[in-house]
Amino acid sequence: MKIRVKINGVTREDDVEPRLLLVHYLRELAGLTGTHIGCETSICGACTVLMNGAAVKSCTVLAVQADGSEITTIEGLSGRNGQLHPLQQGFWEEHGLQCGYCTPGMILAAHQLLSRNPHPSRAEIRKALEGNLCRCTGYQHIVKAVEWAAEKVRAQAEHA
Amino acid sequence: MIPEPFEYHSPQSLEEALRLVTEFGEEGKMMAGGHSLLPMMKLRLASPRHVIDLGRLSELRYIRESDGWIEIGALTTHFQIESSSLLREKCPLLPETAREIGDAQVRNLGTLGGSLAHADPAADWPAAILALDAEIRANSAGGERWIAAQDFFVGLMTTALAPGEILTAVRLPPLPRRAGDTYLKLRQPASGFAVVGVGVRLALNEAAHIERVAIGVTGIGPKAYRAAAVERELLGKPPTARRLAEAAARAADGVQTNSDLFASAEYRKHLASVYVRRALELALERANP
Amino acid sequence: MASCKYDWPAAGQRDAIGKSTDRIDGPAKVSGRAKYTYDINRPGMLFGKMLTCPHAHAKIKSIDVSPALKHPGVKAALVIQDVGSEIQWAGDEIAAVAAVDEATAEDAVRLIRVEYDVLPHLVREENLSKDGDRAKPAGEQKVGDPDKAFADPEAVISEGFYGIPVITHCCLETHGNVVEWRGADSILTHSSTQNVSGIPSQLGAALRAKKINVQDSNIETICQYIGGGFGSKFSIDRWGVVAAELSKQAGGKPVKLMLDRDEDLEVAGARPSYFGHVKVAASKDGTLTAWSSETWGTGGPGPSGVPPVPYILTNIPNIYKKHTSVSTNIGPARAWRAPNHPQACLMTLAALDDLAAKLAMDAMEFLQKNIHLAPSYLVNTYQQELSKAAELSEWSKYWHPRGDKTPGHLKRGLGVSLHTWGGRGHAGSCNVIVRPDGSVTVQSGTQDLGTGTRTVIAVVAASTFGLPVDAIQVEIGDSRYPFDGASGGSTTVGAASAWTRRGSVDALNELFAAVAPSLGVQANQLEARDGRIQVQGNPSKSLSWKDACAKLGAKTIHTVGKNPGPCNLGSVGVGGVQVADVTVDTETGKVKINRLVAVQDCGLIIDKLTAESQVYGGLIMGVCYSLFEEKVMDQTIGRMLNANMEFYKLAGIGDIGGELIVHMMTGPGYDERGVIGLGEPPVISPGAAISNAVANAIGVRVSQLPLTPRRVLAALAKGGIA
Repeated sequence: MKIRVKINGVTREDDVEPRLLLVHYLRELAGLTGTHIGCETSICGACTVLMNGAAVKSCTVLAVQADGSEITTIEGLSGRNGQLHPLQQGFWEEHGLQCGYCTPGMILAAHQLLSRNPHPSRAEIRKALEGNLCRCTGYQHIVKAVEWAAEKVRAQAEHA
Repeated sequence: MIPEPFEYHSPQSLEEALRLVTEFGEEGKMMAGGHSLLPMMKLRLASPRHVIDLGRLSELRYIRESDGWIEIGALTTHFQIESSSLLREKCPLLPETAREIGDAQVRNLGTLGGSLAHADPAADWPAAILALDAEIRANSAGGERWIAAQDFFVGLMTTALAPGEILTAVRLPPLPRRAGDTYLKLRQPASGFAVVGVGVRLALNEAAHIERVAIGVTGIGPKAYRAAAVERELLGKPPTARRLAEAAARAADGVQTNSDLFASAEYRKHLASVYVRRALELALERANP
Repeated sequence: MASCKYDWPAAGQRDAIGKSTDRIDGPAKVSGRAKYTYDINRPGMLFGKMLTCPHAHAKIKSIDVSPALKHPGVKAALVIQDVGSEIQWAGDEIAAVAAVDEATAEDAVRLIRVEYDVLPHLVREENLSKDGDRAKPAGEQKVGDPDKAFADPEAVISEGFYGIPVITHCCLETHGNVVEWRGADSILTHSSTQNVSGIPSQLGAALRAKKINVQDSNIETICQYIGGGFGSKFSIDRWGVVAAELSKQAGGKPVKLMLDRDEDLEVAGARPSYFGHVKVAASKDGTLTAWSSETWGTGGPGPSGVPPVPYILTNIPNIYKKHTSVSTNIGPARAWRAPNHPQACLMTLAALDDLAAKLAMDAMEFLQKNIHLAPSYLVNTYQQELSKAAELSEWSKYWHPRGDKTPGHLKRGLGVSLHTWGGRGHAGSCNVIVRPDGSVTVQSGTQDLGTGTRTVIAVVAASTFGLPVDAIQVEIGDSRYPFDGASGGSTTVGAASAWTRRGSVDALNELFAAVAPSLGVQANQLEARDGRIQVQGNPSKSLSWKDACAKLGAKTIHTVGKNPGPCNLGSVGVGGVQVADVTVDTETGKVKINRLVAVQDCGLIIDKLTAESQVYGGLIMGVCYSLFEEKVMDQTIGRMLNANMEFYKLAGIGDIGGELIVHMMTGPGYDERGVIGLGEPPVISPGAAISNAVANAIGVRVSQLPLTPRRVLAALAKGGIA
């Protein structure tokens, strides 16, 4: 089936099997491997991407469902010259990652939070990241990273 | 991890969808958000030859008041319900329930209609709509009908929907005066499904006695149910703490309780009482601001 | 004290060492550029899938892969275990295919026909009386006269049963490899491994055993990023060898064979269980006099290690212990972060906590009173760490005698535990290269599991050269670089810091020799400081790093740093104390963590952030196995019931609502010990600390981990505050 998807601002057209999962479409056809696979059952969240601005688990979406949609993956958050988005910067500076496998999905789930709620409390941050598992960090630094990013994003908005 | 091959259809109108559903019959499965069907297909526990994706039917995505009812289109997502200011005002139980479903990603795609039609014994919506005395609209090639929530959940993952019918909307009365509602849940730690989930709406009369009470319970048995035994103990009575606790002890009366890795049947029975009691207490607090 | 040329700089002169440096691979990971093995897409790559055995114990009667080979898109298929093989666990690999895409491979593998003779199995070991001849003696020991000590009428005795089940590693990236042949006799593997330097020889040996001739020198393994290892990824594993064979069969095309989550949970590693009856005695003043334990556990079909009990307090004067190893038909155990220690810690520290409660003694005081029974070199450390942990957890404010008497259904309690680990740096090496343009590279065939190895290397080199951390280029993760040992046993930071230090000091000395003439001094009068090479104590007589390197002309400095080597850069043996603060909902049985306090020593800290991260990580894994994780086997069907992440539960962000407080012991008394590994110690105590806190809260011991709501309610029903 022919699908047309805009990924990180670039439109592509592909002919895919209905059963192709969005996560495989992104990782293999589009070559964007920053979106990771960690489980089979839509639990871990490592595959989280933004679809039309909303965070979804791409392992539980068919590529054909994404026809006509706009997808943002972790690669799309960095600026054109590789500058880090405040969330990426925050996860780095606040040490919100160790092995890094869960990190892209975690960042995109946090991105959705900040776009809906620019000033989240710690409880709201935790609620928003319920769908993302991390085996390494203990989550405390992830919460701090999101707080750091929220402040930076608010500051940038004020300057704009 | 990858489903068996199938054909995918994406109808653009309800008529088209009904036509496809009728055409494919048993060989076709409907999909809304896909978060019930796709996991099963990925594990090859379900392998329909035709998947009918209702996701493009934007006409079924709405929340509105009409004729004294609140009406919600079947394809409204959990997130849309969670963030609806209309519902927060007129029926707080619904956003409260929505918030507890799965996680933020699941809520973006999962739909009210999809969840109700699938009727997972641990899903949250069935308990909520039972507590609200809601009605469910089913459309078929032959027309439409409204099904009372009490008649909708027939058995394990079985609803009153007939072959060829599509669930298109849910309607329910807004919260009356001197009433409170709530949804409380104990989450299965990994999946987020309800080990027990209780929706309560209760209304008080002038004498502050319980005039109406509806308790929907999920996660305990093969299907969500009304805790009628509890309701009978409370109707017309003053809601003292003791009465609530004694009535709540009957929360799982007559129900064949489930047992799984996380919770045994006895533990579920016990939890049902605890959560029914807690939900009643909270709803009562809200009825008496 | 005589100084040695590689010694760590004195306090105050350590530059980046000991500070908080952001991990240097952060940008790659947050931008999605980091490629894990699962992400490797090679030209012409095929996808491998395996057929596994559905029976826990069986013999293969017949096997036919030809239907799969005939399936369109399949480029190779092979039998992994042939007719007559005896299978010892469900999920064991039987056959494999490689196909043009993953979907085709999944379809094709289902076409393979296998017949089994099913044999009797045992997959549940907790009831020793039912284990029959699968229960094998695994050691018995007596010290002193325990019978006499227990018979003492003045002795206060506590007896209990304690248990900790089999759990898995559940790394977020599953196991697997991408293997390809470069020509007829050279192999490249991308492997999700914590043993980059070790994989080539493993793969070479395995292939030669199958009469596929390949030299280890012609095998290269690459692993730049790995999504967790925790002890399960030291080996090429049979599926890695299979990928190499499938690749060869398909003309050398790359084959990606990653395990699915259910396979990974069933067969790719487990931590052995440990159950036991423990009896402990003390005199009325709380001094321990005797220990007796009869324990058993399983690590799969083969023997598993024996947890060291009594844990830490090894000098109890009278000891009897007996262990039985049960052979079960479950996926075999692999080293799980701090092998045998979490088990020994729970068995001991829970039993001692119960004894302290019986003595009506404060649990902290009980440990302080008996700490002289610990290895002498750690006694002082434990005393300091116990005090610190008491302070940070506000122990005197929140601890109470067993059983929270506060009215209502919520009960709060505190529990304490302590632990130990080795952590000496393993054998390994690196290249240190300093070029005329001033660029510096450190290369080693080592790995960074998220532990911060890259950053440690950069910090040590930068500190030695007097350069900023980002001036050091670190290259790891390729077996063609100098050999380094596997990242296991918390041995990497001690090794990496040492070989980087030695290589860097030697390189610096060569640079001094090249530069000294132009500054008119001897080489041994120079130092590197703040990006300059200067005469000691005389910054005006100096050259910038760049100008100094330009003096090399056409020469490049290349040294090899090794460990072990001269000078004391590291040692072995750490302690650690943890306190858990919990609230238990006695109506639902749910345990909420209010706070965890971890006080940890690890000698000289190279990078504060990565060191603390290890402790946070240990705490979260600790919470996971204390409250949630359990490999549930069904004795009827012989399979793992929760081989997916829906029912094999890892803690989510909402499960750790409380505070995690980490305090590193540093400064005099600690720094002089040099670098000691830290990856494992923090994961040892949480089980005991949390179990003790729950007992303190509800007044009764929940004897088995994980402390699920069901187990908590069952324990309450038997006694305790309801």
